[in-house]
Formats: sequence, C-alpha cells, structure tokens
Amino acid sequence: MITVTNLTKVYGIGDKAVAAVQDVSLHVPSGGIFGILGRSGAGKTTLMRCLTALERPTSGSVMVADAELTSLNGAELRSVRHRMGMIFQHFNLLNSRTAAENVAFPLEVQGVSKPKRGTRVAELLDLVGLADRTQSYPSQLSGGQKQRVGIARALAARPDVLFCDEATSALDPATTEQILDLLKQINEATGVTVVLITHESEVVRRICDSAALMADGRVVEEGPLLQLLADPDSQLADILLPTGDPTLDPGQDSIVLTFAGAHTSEPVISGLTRHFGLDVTILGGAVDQIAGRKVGRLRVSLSHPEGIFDHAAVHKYLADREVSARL
Amino acid sequence: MRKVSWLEALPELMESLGQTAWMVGWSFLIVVALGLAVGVLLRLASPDGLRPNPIIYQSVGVVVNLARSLPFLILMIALISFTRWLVGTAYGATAAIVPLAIGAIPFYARVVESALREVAPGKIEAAQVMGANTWQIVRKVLLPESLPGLISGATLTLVTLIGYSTMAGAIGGGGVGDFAIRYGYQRFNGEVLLMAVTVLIIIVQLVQSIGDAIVNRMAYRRG
Ligand SMILES: Nc1ncnc2c1ncn2[C@@H]1O[C@H](COP(=O)(O)OP(=O)(O)OP(=O)(O)O)[C@@H](O)[C@H]1O
Ligand SMILES: [Mg+2]
Repeated sequence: MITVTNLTKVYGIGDKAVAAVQDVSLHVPSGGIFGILGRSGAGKTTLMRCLTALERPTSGSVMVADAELTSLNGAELRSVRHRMGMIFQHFNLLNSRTAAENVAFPLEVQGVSKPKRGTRVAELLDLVGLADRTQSYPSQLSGGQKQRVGIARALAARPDVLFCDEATSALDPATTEQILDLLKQINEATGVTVVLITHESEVVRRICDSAALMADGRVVEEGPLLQLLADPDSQLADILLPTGDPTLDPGQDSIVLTFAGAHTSEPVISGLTRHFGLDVTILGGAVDQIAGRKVGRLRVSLSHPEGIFDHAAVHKYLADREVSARL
Repeated sequence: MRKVSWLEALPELMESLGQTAWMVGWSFLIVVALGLAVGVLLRLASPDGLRPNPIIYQSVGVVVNLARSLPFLILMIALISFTRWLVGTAYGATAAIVPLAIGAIPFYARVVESALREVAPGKIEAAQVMGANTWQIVRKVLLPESLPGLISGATLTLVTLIGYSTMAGAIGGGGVGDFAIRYGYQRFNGEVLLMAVTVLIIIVQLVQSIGDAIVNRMAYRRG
C-alpha cells in the first residue's frame, strides 16, 4: 500500500537545520494496521505529513497506492488524496458544521450528490455509534464523540488508507480503548489499511499487526509484530512486553524467552526443570494478546546444580515449542 | 428668521435619513463583497497562506495600507475626479458611494484577512488531505469557520461607514451629516441638531446590537 524509500526531511537551513526524518525506508502492507511508535520528537508527525503530502520531502520517495507523491501535480495529488482518510489528535472538525455535515465534507469535495451523501452519512454515523447525535455541533460533543465523528468523516469516501496521528492521545484510557477497538473493527470489516502513529505502546499492543519503531528521525525496527516479538534482541519487543531492567539483577546471567506460538499454554518452564534439571529463576516478564495471539516474554536465569548444562539441547527443546531464546 | 422647531424639521430629517441609508447601504454591500475578495486574496497570498505569492501580497498590502492611512476627508477630495468619471457627477448621495466604498474596502479587507488567519491550520490541512482544492477550502472551511469574525467586522465597518457618510454630507453628499451642518452649524439650531444626533446614536446602537446578537447566536451554537 505504502512504500517509503530513503526519505529525508530537513527543516530550516544552515546552522538551524533539523533533520526531522532521516533516510527512512519502510513498507506498509495492504489491509493491516501499521503502527509507528516513537517518543516525542522522534519524527513521527513529520513522516506522516510526508505520507499525506502535507510536507514535501527533502529527498527520497513516497509511493501511496502506486502513486509517487513527490511527482504529482495539484489535480493528481487531490485525486490520490480522495483515496485517503485521516484522523487527528485534536479532531480538526469544522465548528460551523453539525456532525452530519462534517461527515459529508469529503463527499461534497468529491462532488457526490446530496441524496447519496445523506445515505452514506447516516450509515457512517450509525457505524461509529452516533446515530442520535447527527445534528449536534462539535462543541456539544465529548472528545470521544468528536473522534468518532472524525473517524466517520475519514471513512466517508471509502478510502484505501486511513492515517491516524495520535488519534487517541487526547482521550482518557477507557475512551481510548473504545476508539481503538472501533478502528480494529472497521479495519476488519472494510479491509482499509490503517497507519497510525503514537507514542503509547498500548496502542500498538492493542490493535497493530505490524509496526515500526522510530528514534531520532530514523526507523530503528520494522516488521510484523509477531516476527519482531520473536526476536530476542528486538527493542520494540521490549517496549511492548517489557521484562524488567537487567541491571537490577547484577551477577545473574539472564535470557529472554518469547512465547508466541501455539504452545503458549504448555508448561515449558517446568519442562526445563523436568527434562534438564535446571533451576529457573523468573526475573521479569509480561504476557498479552498481541496481533491476535497470546504472546509472552519472560526474562529468566537458568542454572544447573552442577554448573553446566547442554545449551544446544535446551535451545532445541525451546525451539520445538516455538519459544525463541538466545542462550 | 424664525427658529424651526424639531417637529417642523422632522420631514426633512427623514429625507436626509433616506439619503444616508442610500449611500451607506450601497457602499456597505460593495465593501463587503470587495473587502471579502481582497481579504481572501491577501490571506491566500500571504507567506503562510495556501497560495503564497510575495508579489501580490506585498503590492496589495501596500495599496491597502496607503488607503487606510489617508484620512477619509482627504481621500474623498482626492477621489473627486475619479468619482465624476465613474458616476458622471461628484455631487449627491450616489456620488458619495464611491469614496465611502473605496475608503472602507481596505479596512474590511484587513478585518477579513485577520479573521481568516484565526482558522486553525489543522482544519485546513484536514480539508487538504480530503482532497479539497483551494476554492473549496475557501468556501467550505475558511469563510464558514470565520463567519462570526467576518460578521462582527462587517458590523464595525457599517458603523464606520455611517460615521464617514456624515463627512460625505459635508461636501454635498446629503444625508444626516448635511442636515446636521445646515441646522446645527449654519443656523445654530441646537434643538434640531440634538434630534439629528440622537437619531444617529440610536441607529449606530441598533446596528451594533443586531450585529452582536447575530454573532452571539452563532457563537452559542459553535461553542
Ligand atoms: N515545521 C517545523 N520546523 C522546524 N522543525 C520542526 C518542524 N516540525 C517538526 N520539527 C522538528 O522535527 C523533529 C521531529 O518532530 P515531529 O513533530 O515529527 O516529532 P513527533 O515524533 O511527531 O513528536 P510528538 O510525539 O511530540 O508529536 C523535532 O525535533 C521538531 O522540533
Ligand atoms: Mg507528533
């Protein structure tokens, strides 16, 4: 759906130049929910502004739905944008329009006839659970309701891709969950590709299939979540399922076990004790439902009363049970 | 010469009011239409606008500032030959419409520009990402979102026009200003002058309250 190649965006010139995005390449597959996670100032917003052509990259290329954004003229860009939807942290609804009129906006822009707009708007407000607030103005709605209007508006013209810039950061935790679940449900029902940027790992944990981790304008890691989680060295995995700070246990040689397979419920830990006579000390860990799978990461230290054990056999035992580890 | 009572002067005041309404009404319509156009142009062409254009922005800006810094009385006199060329005469209520409109367009244009500037950039970007073109953004985002500011600015412009129109009266435009000069200044008839002034104050108050009421009703809905 989206392919970014060697994208760099520099703001300012000379001494004041800031490279907000540096040499970023990534691929967003069609139909999934792709998260871009990063701390404040990592360059997430800048990257998304380049994906929507609100910002012109300093160098590099951005392909959205087979169109190279940097080479389009005004009219061509508008027609590519008709296939995009976007929701914002601060909603950006028009105060002069009711909820229904806000949702109708992209349809008006694309010249959809009034009767058709009416049906589509009613359908969407129903989908986002606001069928009873169609005539309310944004000022009369709560944050969560405003974001629902924002989502309905973004989906009105049946986009291929939905961009979300910190869509839940202005909302309380309960409302955040509702909005995330709504996005997930819409993604599953319509197949729209969702690209969301966030600084909250909870958002990625809850709804994403794949993700990229950004730091200092660069993409540090990228890929399907299950694949990243299975990598014991993944930083993203450690952010999503933290196993505690290793420096708190000095002298202990700890390893991280990742349980992402179908065997998660099998008693692997007690198996290590039974089969290899190992003492297993659990130092930290987390288990959660990620990308539709129950995934756990445990930081443990393994020791044998006699001091040595067969690393290769243990590794094979774990690998057979789809537990990845580096011994 | 016998002193005229306010009651006797009333019909003549009514006629003057009619002339004032004529010149103020037409000039107001022209000012709103052209002021909007110039204000939108300035906003679009400004460095952070949708169509940045330093040449247009600077040159229109200079003309607007020049016209605004000129006192109305001077502007009116300076425009006499232009007015005569445009309407055939520089005398009377219709001729007065020309300097009134030209005097107030730059003022309202600046009001429009700054009202449009208040529209949050995020709303404009949202419309851009939805594929709206510049004209659609002007019509569906910029103007509706800044409507309360545009209306309160128009109210202020209307009040200013009423004020200017009394000056236009002084050089032969007719209207309430002309009436006040004839009775109050040339004949020292304080009673009739007081009546004219009272009527003017009431009109200005009325215009201001109606404008405020419209804005408040809108603000209530929009929050
Ligand atoms: N218009 C701009 N002009 C100059 N510098 C900018 C501009 N926009 C962003 N930057 C800089 O680029 C860097 C990345 O900013 P960006 O907004 O993309 O980060 P972010 O990851 O979205 O952060 P946050 O989570 O706080 O929104 C920052 O150092 C920021 O100061
Ligand atoms: Mg940001």
